[in-house]
Amino acid sequence: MVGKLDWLAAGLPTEGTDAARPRAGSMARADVPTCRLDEPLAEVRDRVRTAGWDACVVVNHERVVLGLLRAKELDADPGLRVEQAMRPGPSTFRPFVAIEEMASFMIDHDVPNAPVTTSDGRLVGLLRREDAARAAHQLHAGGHP
Amino acid sequence: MSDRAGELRCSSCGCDVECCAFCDEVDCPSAACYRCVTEALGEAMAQPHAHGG
Amino acid sequence: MPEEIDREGVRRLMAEGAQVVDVLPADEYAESRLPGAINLPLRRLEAEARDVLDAGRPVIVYCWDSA
Repeated sequence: MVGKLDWLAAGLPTEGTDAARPRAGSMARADVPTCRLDEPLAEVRDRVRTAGWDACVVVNHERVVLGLLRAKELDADPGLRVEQAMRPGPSTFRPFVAIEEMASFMIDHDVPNAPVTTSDGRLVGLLRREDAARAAHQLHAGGHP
Repeated sequence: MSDRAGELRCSSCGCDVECCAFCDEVDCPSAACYRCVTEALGEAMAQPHAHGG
Repeated sequence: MPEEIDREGVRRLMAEGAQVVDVLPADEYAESRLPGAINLPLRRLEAEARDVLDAGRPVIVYCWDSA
């Protein structure tokens, strides 16, 4: 059964005065590289770095987040498979979380990026700390990013 | 403040945690429990009205 | 006859032109609502529904949560 909370948690569009406010879902990068559990780490690392990223989200065939490869994991033994190298079950965040709170937490906890998912666990995108911080700063400066 | 080595406490409410619920690290200096993180991020939004639907 | 539907059901009906009713208080409606939703707070629903809604089209009614 669905209510507005479920709709928001799924990252679906809304109307209203709050709709334009930047949130985790709107700032997350949907073009983040993804990979599967059984892929060779070396191949994923090459693909990710060639694309200009330093992180990759591990998903299943339904785009449900299973793990995360940040720079440290990408630099692990290249002979490993993704499943062996990844950070399993990473903390994920809902699309409707306010960007100021996310930026604050990411800075305080030194988190370079964070997966944003729907309530079903499906990947919306990867929120990068620099993007969150910039959006939060622009909000305080009186504009929208 | 923990008085036992290796024990991690939520920096907001003081409850014991295995790792920080935000960054997943076991040695996070600003460790927070799941409840405090979800409340701070607004994910545990309270029922905004009386009838609860 | 009212029936429960899930999120995909809501999206499908919206695409087919269903009317969407938000029964939350006006200030919450103003802040955030499903696209195309009209506001009929719960205390006014019974009195105004017949005047505001088209009886010939499906109606989706939602609140904050499933509780």
